[in-house]
Amino acid sequence: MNRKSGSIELLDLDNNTFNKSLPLDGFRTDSKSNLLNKQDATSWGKTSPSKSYCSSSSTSTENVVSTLERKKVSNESGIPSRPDDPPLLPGEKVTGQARDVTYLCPYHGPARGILTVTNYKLFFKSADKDTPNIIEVPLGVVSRIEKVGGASSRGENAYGIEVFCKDMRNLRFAHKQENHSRRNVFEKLQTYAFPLSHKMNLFSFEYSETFPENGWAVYEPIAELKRMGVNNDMWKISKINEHYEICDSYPTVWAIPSQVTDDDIKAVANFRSRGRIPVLSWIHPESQATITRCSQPLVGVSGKRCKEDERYVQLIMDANAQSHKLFIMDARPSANAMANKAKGGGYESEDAYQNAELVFLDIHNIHVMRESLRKLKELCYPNIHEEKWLFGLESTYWLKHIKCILAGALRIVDKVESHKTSVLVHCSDGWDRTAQLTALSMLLLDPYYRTIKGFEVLIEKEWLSFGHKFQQRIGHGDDHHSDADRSPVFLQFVDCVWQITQQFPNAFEFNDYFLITILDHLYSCRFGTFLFNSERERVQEKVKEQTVSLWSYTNSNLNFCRNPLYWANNLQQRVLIPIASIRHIKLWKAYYCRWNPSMRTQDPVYQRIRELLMLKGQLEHTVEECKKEQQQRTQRSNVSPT
Amino acid sequence: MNDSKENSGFKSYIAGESELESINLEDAQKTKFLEGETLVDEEPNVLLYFPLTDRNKYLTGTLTVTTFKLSFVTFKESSTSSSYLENLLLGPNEVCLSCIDRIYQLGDRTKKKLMPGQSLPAGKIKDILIVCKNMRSFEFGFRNCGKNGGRKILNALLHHVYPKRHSLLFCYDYRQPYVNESIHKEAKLFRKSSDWEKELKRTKCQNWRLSMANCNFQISPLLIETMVIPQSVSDTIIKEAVEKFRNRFCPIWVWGTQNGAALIRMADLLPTISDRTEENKFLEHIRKSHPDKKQPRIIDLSWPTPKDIRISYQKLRDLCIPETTRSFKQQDFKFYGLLDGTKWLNYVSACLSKAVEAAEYLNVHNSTVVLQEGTGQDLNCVVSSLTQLILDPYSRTKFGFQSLIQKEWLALGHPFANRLGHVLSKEIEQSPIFLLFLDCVWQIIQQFPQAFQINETYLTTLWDSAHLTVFETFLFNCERDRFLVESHSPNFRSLWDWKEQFAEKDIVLFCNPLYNDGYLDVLPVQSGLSCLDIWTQCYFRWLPDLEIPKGGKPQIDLFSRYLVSEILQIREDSQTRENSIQRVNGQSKNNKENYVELMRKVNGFFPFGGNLGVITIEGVESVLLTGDNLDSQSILNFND
Repeated sequence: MNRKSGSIELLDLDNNTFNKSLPLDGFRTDSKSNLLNKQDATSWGKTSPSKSYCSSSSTSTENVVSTLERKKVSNESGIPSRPDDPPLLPGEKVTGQARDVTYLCPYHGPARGILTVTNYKLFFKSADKDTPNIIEVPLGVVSRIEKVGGASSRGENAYGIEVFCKDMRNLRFAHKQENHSRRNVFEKLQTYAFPLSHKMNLFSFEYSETFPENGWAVYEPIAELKRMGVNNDMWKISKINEHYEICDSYPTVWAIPSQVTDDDIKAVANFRSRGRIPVLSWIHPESQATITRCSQPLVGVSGKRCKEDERYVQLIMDANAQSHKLFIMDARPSANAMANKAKGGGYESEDAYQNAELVFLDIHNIHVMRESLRKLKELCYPNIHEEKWLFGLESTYWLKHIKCILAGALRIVDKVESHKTSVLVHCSDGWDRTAQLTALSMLLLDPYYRTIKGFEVLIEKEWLSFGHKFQQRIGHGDDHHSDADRSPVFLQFVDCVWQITQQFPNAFEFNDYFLITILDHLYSCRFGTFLFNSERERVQEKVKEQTVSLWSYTNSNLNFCRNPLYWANNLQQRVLIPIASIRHIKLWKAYYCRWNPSMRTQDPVYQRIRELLMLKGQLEHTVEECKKEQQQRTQRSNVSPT
Repeated sequence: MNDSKENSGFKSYIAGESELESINLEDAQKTKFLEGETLVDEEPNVLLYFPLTDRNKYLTGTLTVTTFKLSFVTFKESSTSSSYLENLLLGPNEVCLSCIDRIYQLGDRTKKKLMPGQSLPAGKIKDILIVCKNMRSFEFGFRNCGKNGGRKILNALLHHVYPKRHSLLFCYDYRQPYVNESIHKEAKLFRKSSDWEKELKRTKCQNWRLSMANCNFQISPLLIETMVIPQSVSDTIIKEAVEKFRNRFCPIWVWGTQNGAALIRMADLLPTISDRTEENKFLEHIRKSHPDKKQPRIIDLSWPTPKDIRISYQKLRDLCIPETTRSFKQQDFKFYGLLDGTKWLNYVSACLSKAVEAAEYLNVHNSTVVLQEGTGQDLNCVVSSLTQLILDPYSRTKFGFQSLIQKEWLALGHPFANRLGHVLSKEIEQSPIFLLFLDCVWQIIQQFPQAFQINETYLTTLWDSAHLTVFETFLFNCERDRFLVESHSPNFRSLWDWKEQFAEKDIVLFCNPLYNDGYLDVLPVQSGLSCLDIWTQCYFRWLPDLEIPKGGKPQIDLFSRYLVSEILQIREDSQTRENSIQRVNGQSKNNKENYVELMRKVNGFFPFGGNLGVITIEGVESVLLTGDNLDSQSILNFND
């Protein structure tokens, strides 16, 4: 099997090892190393005390190429499956197919085969019988499709299609002009990759797989607030936004200072950009210090003030008896915050907000981040110029931005945890950088969010319910690839999470496979989770009723997501303090460079630890068996004395 | 443990009162002396500044210069009970004189490098900076000392840190009798011909023979007495041949495969010899030693030079020893660009890729490889050792690794005394080639965490120990030098005897719990820059601000140790008599609970860093929790 098909093997292996107890010699020992592997076969035969520690070099060198499931699904739609059809998901159907297409693989060279377009994915399989080159791209991942070459093109493979993807790769296919296959493929791709531009539905609304777990039930806003102890003396649950009338990008359920009246809320909403007033994100279980979030105040050049807003902020401060101070963390660079005054926005003046201290966290806007990722893609795909690697990495600024976000979150954590002071976080609209900061600080402060389900809750709460505009930032099903609203804000958040998992390898229940799965389905449009811009839109479009949640999928396959090092007992540290120095910030190669088969990105340490855990399980099993056998023997010898 | 307070992970930032307690010298813990170590000078009321606090936070104590070390002791007790990897020869704030690289006098804005023989500038010496070869630095302040306090210490240091003769090194004075000589049974030293004979047998490489032509170092003083050469080469031929090569380093066999491919090291021909006949004659003999008479593959290792490596190392060290919080932040701001500028990882990559190339010729093409380099004793050592680590699983074991270093570095004469700068002289070229090698090994361990019996803590400690003049191992330029003084120095001891330095419980930390001796024979090492990383433990461990509180790699390490202990315990309990139940990797089940306990406590540089008993900083806000003070827009303009 070709490298490209790696992930599913990995899944199968995991399945086996976690669900069944294996006989002592039952491990896979297929070795597959890229070079210099002449002597491999002999090494397995050696006798040694740790021989049975299952050495599978194959899996340890494999990249998580794709987390997309590719098991053959029985064809429920009743259409007979033809031999050349790719494996299909329930609700997926083939819409076009072209033979004699050449995939111009940047690593293994051109491969000829069959290209299929379904309503969910692009699927290519080379004709090579032994090691078919398989390419699978959910169409949601596609950002742009272009024709390469025209009627006058000469030379082999000069005429075809290039597909630009949101997940750090581009694909080129060459067609034979005389086959006239390109037009059909191009049209099908355009239609199904950008259904919204063609007045069609996203695939999520066609997809009909069922899972044992219901991911839509993962997040229950009131239950989550109760978990944190709200209502209490100082904070109350308000449903004033039940019909999204105060703020259309906020959820229906808020936790706000208990003394705030409905009239206050309306006044504050008028003074905050898009009505996004300060509401509770997290409350410290002991000190009652809080993290609240909002958008910028509409101060403008004239320096407008709002009494209700000032009082509201005072109430947030007062709700924490431990401190007579409040930190307002403005995620932006101060220059940007100032420039916003010209557009009617701005920031809180320390004169108007007594006892509040304003801090700028210097995180750049969505446009800067988009540009940074563009450079990073250039650096990582398709091939890496080793000589220029470090300099190239430096000039993308990507790690610097990651560091900056992490450092911002740490400063929030520091105030809340060691100074017991509440922090109010905002940027301009409070749905990009603010979400990054609140979600990351909560992850650092509260071990609950470091479990698989807790992390899902965190995303549902801080990102989805508080209106991070996933539709705009990702551009699901929309062909405006150069839309200035697109930006990798959520990707940066996941990258920061990965950085923290690297510094605290046993603090998280999930592994990086889980994170990559989330990112893959951020774009794939198979699940409804990341569709639309706000809770309101998702309710309107009946997303819960008509689509499947990503968490249904992950929670039904928990074994793939688990971190073997997770130590879920009282060893757990409550607060994590990662080091936000670029000296500790690394490029997440397992994600950004995963298409390159020469990049060994699977962490071999985890692989080895899994092997040790397997061995342990196996030994325990053997001991059990021995005991049973012994018992039976003694019983038998008791029964038959002669 | 009932230290639930500690769980928050944050230090309490009680407003930063610097230490003002008056120090009574009587209270001060006295510097401990080794047998034969004598006091040179001592000064009370010296300040030791914490790194990255801009000299605002310090300890007060007594600074002592002896014939062996520079020592700072404070009356504050260090929590010795819980510290790990505690060196039996050196305290937490002590450093062997030979480890000191540079001494600077610091002014408010100035920094002046001091060298022996220079007269010290007039006026009171306020602050000095000591930069060590292992990326550590010490900043001492004499503001509370007498007028000549700083001056006396500086003079003592300048005199003793840079000895002009080898015989002034401490090992000649060390009087502690050496008794423990039980360590070398499994590891080979390659000083005697029997070790070379065993190596030939072990590798099953045919057509090579031992030659004693260099008996008593008569034909080549920089080589060992036993040389392995082609069977077709007579002692007469070899005696003539050595004349033609630099350092008289003619082609010598170091390793081979059972298919007949051999790994050969040699120097360049003398610069005065223009035709390569002599070299070709020898290469013809080498070709004939191959069972298929295959033409050997010559790999040229003339780049990077020792000088390139030294310059690169110094730039790298600048990144590891930021002197002010401002320079720390500036470095952080463009770290990968600066790292690129050091070229260190480029050199690591170059060595690894040469080794990968050599390994491929030996293993895949079954072709003999000849490594060739100027004097034959610098990069040849690096690449030859790395090639064997890639191909030979034995070299990845504890004793195998030790044997490898004995063979490639010590027997074949890497000039350690010069390269590590044990002795000051204008003629010698200092260059941390050995560190470059250890870094390469570290990179391979990162790529194959189950392939080595040793771990990064072992490598880091090896680098530290190479500067300890108590041990003879890395003290000499060649075997002949060692041989000549050895007979008069009964107290010479080997560095491989780790018990001289560490307690048993600490030596266990050198073992890799993930080791799998049934792992791949040949490691498919990746040598591209994008596959390399910076060796955080070795380079950053002296900066407390970079230590991940209760996180980092030690968590994985300890968890693995715990797991292995559990497995061993189950095996033992089940009484299944499969093979023999050995103490794999030096583990013992009794340590199990200990590991859990440690996981709760230790920080990212364990067993180094804040875990070492060095008193940690409190009262000063971490450099990482303050703003960057750098123009936030410059992130966009930088490098454009």
